[in-house]
Amino acid sequence: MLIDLQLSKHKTDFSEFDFLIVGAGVAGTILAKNLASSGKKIALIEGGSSEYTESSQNLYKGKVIGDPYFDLDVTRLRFFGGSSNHWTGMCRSFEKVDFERKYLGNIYQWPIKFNDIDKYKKKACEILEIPSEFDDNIDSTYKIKSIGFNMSTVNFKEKYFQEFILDKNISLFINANLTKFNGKNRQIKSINFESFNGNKIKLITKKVIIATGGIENCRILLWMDKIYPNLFFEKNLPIGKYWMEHPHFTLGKAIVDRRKVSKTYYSLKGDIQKKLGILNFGLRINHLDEKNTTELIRDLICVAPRLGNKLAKLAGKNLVCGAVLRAAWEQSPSINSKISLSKELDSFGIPRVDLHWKKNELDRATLKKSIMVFNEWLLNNDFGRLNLYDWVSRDKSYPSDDQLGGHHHMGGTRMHESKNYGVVDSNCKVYGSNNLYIAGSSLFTTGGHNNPTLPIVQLTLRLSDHLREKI
Amino acid sequence: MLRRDFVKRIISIFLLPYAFSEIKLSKTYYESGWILKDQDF
Repeated sequence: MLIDLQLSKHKTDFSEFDFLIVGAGVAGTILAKNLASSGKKIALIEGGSSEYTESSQNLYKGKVIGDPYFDLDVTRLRFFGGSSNHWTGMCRSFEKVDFERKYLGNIYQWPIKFNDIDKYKKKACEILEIPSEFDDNIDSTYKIKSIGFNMSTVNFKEKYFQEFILDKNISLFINANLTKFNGKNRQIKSINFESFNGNKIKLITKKVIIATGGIENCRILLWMDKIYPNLFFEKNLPIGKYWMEHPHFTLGKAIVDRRKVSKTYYSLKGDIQKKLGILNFGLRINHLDEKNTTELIRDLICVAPRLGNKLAKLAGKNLVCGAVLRAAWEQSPSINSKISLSKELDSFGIPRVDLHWKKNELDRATLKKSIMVFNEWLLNNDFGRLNLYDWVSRDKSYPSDDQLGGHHHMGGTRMHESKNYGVVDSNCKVYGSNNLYIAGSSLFTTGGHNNPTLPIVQLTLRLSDHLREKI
Repeated sequence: MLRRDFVKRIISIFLLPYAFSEIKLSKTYYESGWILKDQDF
């Protein structure tokens, strides 16, 4: 059933729902689908409409403080399907080493094991309509490996919107923006929602799942903490803190042996990351065309004529080519990288957000050490030569006119065994709450270096299994 | 490639007092952003 609160002139009475899911993006829709299929009565609430609207998108405006970042109303979408309406579709899961970060301190340690989410990979890949095997090539003689991404073309609005309207267990509300929580003793009993034209509704539920994305999940909990202190969950949880992105920057160029450096994506093996005390790092090699390759070789000839002339001959035989090196890597969870509430309110009286995105020394060390391992691989095996940009080789500031990030909003309501370092427990339940859960990438204890959608789906499947058993 | 590695290993094991030779053999140059080896020039 579809209820557009914007069009709803009369009050409809709804009996108690088993689950009320706030947010109909990737996590929210998968939860609704899975819980409804087991006979549970679901209210799926979308603040936006079924299409993009200015009035809804406006609620995503916020301030960026700290490192340069995208406008907050550009880096995400607020309507059914969420950011899957503009995602690139790149999929790859967490790696085993992402769950073995104790060498960097307890703060990095997930409260669950790699296998706890890896067992959901196959089903998650089915949902994303991609193969569950990835084109990884691990040669034991080298410190780096080539890795594969699978591309999904799934749009969650196209996949689920019509299906949910017909599902007798799902009540799908659109244009319904949460305005008030009701309850006591760490138990939410009901939530009030309001449309952009002032229509209101109160929905009663047994359990609540907030699945509004990696920035908005923080915003809602920060707001709840401010106006209902200690009422629904514990005080002093690190809400909004340890917020992470995947820094995306172009590091330089290279001339590579086409036969040896034929893949597009590379990363360091887990044991090398541990040995160097760094995080995960993904390197993308975009091969250049003949004209740009020639220019690059000409540049090299000015510096090293012997090698340059040799490579020019090989380029003529199509054996070497130029390449641009782009990197997307894991950011460390830092207490200084955070989301906080702004003094400015949105049209429903809820504070907007300030994003203080901060990269730290370990993020820089991960970049520097990883690119040096890649350099060593090229140099020692004569697979190619690197030409790094000044800011990388001379340790200058990050450029502000590069890609900056991947629109991957992670952490902020992270999962951790200690409530000093996490907001939710290993079952995604907010510490101290009886019935409030979180879904999505804000749960990530650490971010890995791969795109977050596949892990979001895996974690959501795990959460829906847990919730089905609990009720 | 193999022969060069062998020579480097011999130098590092048997000619320790002349370790500078080992460094020179594998010296890396940063020239206009390029990371190069001494053999490249």
